[in-house]
Amino acid sequence: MKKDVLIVGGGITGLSLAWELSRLEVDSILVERAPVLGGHVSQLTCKATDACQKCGACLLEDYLSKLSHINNLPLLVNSRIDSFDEAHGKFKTLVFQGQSKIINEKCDDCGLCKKICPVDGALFHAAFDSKLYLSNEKCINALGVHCEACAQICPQGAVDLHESRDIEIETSSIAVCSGFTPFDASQKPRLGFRRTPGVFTTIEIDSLLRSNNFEPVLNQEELKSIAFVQCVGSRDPKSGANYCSQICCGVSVRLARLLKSRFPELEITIFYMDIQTFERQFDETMRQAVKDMTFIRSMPSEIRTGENGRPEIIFQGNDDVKQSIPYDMIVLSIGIRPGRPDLPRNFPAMWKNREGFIGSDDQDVAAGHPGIFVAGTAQGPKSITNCVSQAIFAASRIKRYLDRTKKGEFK
Amino acid sequence: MSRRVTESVFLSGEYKSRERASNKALILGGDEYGIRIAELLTREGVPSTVLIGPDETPPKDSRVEIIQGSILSSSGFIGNFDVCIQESNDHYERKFGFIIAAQPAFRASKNRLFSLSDSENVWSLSAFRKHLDSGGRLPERKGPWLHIAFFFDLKGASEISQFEELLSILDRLEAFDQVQSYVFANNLKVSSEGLDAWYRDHRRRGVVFFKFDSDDPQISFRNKELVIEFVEPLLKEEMELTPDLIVLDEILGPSPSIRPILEMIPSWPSSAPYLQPESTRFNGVETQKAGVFAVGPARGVFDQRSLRADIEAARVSILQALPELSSLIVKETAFIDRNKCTFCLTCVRLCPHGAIGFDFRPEVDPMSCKSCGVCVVECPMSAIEIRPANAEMIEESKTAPLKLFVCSHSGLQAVSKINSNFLTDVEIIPLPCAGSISPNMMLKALQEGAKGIVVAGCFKGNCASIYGSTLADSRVAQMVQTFQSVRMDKVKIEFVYLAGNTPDRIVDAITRMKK
Repeated sequence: MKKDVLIVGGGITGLSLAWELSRLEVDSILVERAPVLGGHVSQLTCKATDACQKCGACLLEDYLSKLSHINNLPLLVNSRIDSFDEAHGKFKTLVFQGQSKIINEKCDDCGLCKKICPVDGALFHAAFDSKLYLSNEKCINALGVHCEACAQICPQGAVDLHESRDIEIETSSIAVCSGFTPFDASQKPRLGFRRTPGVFTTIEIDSLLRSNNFEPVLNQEELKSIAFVQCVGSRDPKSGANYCSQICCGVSVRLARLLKSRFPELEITIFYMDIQTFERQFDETMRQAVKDMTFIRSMPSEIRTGENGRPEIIFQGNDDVKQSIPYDMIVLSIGIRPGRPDLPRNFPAMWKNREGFIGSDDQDVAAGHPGIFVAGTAQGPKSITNCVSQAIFAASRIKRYLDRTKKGEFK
Repeated sequence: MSRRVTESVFLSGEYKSRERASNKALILGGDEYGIRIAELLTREGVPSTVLIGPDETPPKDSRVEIIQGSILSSSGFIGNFDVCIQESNDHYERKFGFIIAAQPAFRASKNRLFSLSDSENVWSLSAFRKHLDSGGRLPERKGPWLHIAFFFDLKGASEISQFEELLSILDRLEAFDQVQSYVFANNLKVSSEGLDAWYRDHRRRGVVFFKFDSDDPQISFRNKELVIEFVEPLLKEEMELTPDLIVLDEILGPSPSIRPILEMIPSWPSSAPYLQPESTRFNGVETQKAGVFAVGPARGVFDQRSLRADIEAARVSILQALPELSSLIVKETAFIDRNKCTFCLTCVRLCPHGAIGFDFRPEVDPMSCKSCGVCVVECPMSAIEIRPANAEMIEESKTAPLKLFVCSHSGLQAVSKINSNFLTDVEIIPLPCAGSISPNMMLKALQEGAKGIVVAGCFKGNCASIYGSTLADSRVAQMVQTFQSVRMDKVKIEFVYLAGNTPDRIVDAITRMKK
């Protein structure tokens, strides 16, 4: 298959880039390793209270519906780049695409397949539609090991196992939109994640809300107080992040406002260092937020199980005195860490910026090799809307690059 | 920007010929960014003119046309903007195809907020930076050390770009001997690449940062000396500092010179003072009005690094619009029936996209029209219709007990996520925008035997037609009230705000109806 651009990653950046390129009449093809498009955004909930909070999560639906009207734009899920070759300014890639899937119309979600599957996480429920999906990345059958356990046990015949196929793709340019890795909060054991009951991360809460599973997690009547802890894995050189993750203040304040609108009795506390601007009416938002919730400028030193099994936060309070406050739920606002793009070993070396992401230090989309570009959170921490902005930026650069190579300016 | 599914070739003599469409671009604002956009566009075959303010200094050598002056007024549509420019004592009109607002940020001093007047010991951040850049000296010191106090993000939020400016001033001050800097701040704005590490560096090298939650430090004069009184935030002890110099940050905003451009868009109050509504529907530099683009401060972005993305976005937007300018394919748009129109200009005043102008009679610009249908419903003479979509829509009427009117943005996306079994006795009627729901449509649905009607539109602040969903909400409310006043309580009509990823809001509404 011959195309102009190969987009690596089907998250919000890859999808918006595909859309912008199509409007510039540039042919592209997109590969995504998961069985669904959307990346992290597909797990996020709409945070509108009575009005839109401008989180941008619905942009995913917007781009997916726009792209569905475009012909000749392959969006390959369950795919990864297996081999790579470069000759005369052309990139030849071999894409390995898994063909196994769950037929959602037949599946009645009995859960038998999930029980028998030998691989953890090969079958999973997507947060955005609560349907079952098969990850060809993890399924051993898709990787060539003979295993049909799920297909044999399924009473509905909803498991459709196929051999994976290889697709040869030749492009003039590659855009790496491989996204980020959320900070693993268990790397900070003192904050109690996975040790202390009642401690969650922002992504977990977001996807619980998205899949309407929030209320069962904690009985509404028991849920009276929530604390958000900012900068977990951000602005923290000791844990390897000498930077601000840019999104977490907005995520926490918006989640807090959403929860407050659903459960008006809820008491919300936010532990923070500095609240970053996340929208244009920031002053007004904060004036309102200060009325609705408590802000404490202190970073907790420890989160542990207190009396009655509730988690409690230990922090340096006023007058430099150690304090501890119990909450019903504690949410760690986790930061953005560099992604782990799944690229072949001989893929050209790309620049690494001072934060450890791909690309240069100034939000540029050049990746350090002619014809290869980077955009979105693969390049550095970014909000959803900034990802889209950078995708437009990348579309502009890629178009110019293609125009020049066609004219023969580069060889 | 949204594109309706059906695009048809529909030509009519009513359209003004597009032959005279101009492909020239007018760029407002002549700092390095304005010039860069003009150069990029000129290279793409879009002749560009840069208009710089009367008090700005024009760059010395540049390959693009530069006018020094200001805009008196502007009108028209993409491909056909008439801009009246005042240049020294002269004013004249020129035609442009595109307008890009890229003026540098407007800076308002915070002196008054701290009850300070301009004096040699009180500087603004930008002025102090310029002073140091041009090799300016530091003032006389009272003791062996020079104490400089910076105020940041107090009495009004500050921007990332100002924190970067502050850090670069701190860098420069390191060249001087025995200078001690203090930063009095509310929130440090570090959410851009490299800023947090840079700030940490300065803290390590001896700059003192005080962070306050609410109690602003007070500045006063005592014996002609500046005194800062404050409660030290960690120890909660009262302290005072007598600095040699105080540097205050400023309040940033868009340039007031975007006003004539704003006024071309009837929905401007919802985005003012900015040119772009703060809605995730407007990506990159696009605004409600086709052919008008907002770069940087004009859309509320001040970070220098993000500005580079805006420059490229302006280029992309124009490249994407160029083929449409010369294209003969006209998408479905609003049509005004000349025989019915009474020139009340409701449509001109109400079109969220500024797509209807007045040239002896109200006229719709087909390229600017997003066919949202807000004008169709609001026209008191029913003189406007969206062609040719409306005709198709009315014909396919079924007799379902529940009718669901959804906008083609959020609504349709949400419906596509709902299990079709749930929607068996629900008829789904897509509207271009919830704002095009009319009382007639609802009455017709009831006439056809509907027991309940749900109208779904985007959340406030997320509507692609700015106030389309709000208008729809109020129309539905009016309808409900009318039915109640005639005691027809059995009729169920409801409006639902939603987003593409909240299908459960429709499910909930339908469940309520079914009860």
